[in-house]
Amino acid sequence: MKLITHNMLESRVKDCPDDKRFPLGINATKVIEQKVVLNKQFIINILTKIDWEVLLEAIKQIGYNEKIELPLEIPVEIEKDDDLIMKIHHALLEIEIIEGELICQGTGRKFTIKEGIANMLLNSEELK
Amino acid sequence: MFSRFSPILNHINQKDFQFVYEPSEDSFLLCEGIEKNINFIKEEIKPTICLEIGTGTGFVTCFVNKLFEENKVSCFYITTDINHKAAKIANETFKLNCVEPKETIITDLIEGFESRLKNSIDLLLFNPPYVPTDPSEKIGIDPLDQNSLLSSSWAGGKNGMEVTQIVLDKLDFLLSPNGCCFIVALEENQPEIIAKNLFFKGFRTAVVKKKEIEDEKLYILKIYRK
Repeated sequence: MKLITHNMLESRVKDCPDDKRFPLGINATKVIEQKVVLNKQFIINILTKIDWEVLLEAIKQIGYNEKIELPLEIPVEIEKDDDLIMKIHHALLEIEIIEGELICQGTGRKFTIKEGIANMLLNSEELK
Repeated sequence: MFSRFSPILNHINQKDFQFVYEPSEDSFLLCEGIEKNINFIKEEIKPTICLEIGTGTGFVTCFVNKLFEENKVSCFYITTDINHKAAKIANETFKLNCVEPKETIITDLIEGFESRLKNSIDLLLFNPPYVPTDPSEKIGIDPLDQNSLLSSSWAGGKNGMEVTQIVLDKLDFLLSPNGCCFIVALEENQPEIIAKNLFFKGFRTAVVKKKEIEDEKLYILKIYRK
């Protein structure tokens, strides 16, 4: 599971307070890095949909905050900063959580990540 | 092979198809419908996020990725399946066919993504369980019943529309301003009624492909904002 996806997922557990649904906590036990072809325009487009603080926190939670240094805020003239775009590309698309879990911050419910695939299925009692 | 954009599926055994929907005429027709609209997608939609619900083997998203690469369209491919075996196979299909950037998630339709993907999906692809089934037959997945893994890929409840309708009701919320949805429907799903209902919600529906196969009349519908 990529960090871009973590930035898009929330807990749908019935008992979770609405302000705790997003983001999900991460407990990663196996993380890999793999090359994905850079598309600059895609990164610029997707940044409008990314919660930057959540991305920074996610990087910290998987222990990559020393490997990937990102600014606290997205610079206004991001288009001109190819080096930063490359770093964002790496953080969003090239880091894969292979084994671990996502944790609902409102209820503690854990969602397993196995072989790179997160399982967000809830049973009927947990559903809204 | 059905097209030069067809993915390699060598990793899938015949026995996997007891649990995962095997790409069939409906999958191929959906691909043909999308291919026919490549210029529309490239020029009008300019997709950033492509979401396929119920991806099964991953065939359709893989096809779309190959088609898009040739046409210099690049986006993030999100696929979901309620069937964990399907999700695993789909992920292998994507790896084998070098589909990137991609993500596969086990979930019911788009549960978990909805709020954050509000008006963000540029392309939504769905080959739904569209076969009308008796109210006594369950739709979706029963964790205690292995057979429900496969039946969840086709059992559609009343008029075959129970699952499709859930997704259609969310289109306005999910699709981006230029977003578009490609969906498979059956004659029994009453495509003209689907189109009429969507019209009142602000959408146009076009039949981009139509094919009669054995006793099934299949339609590929393209749904976009007026």
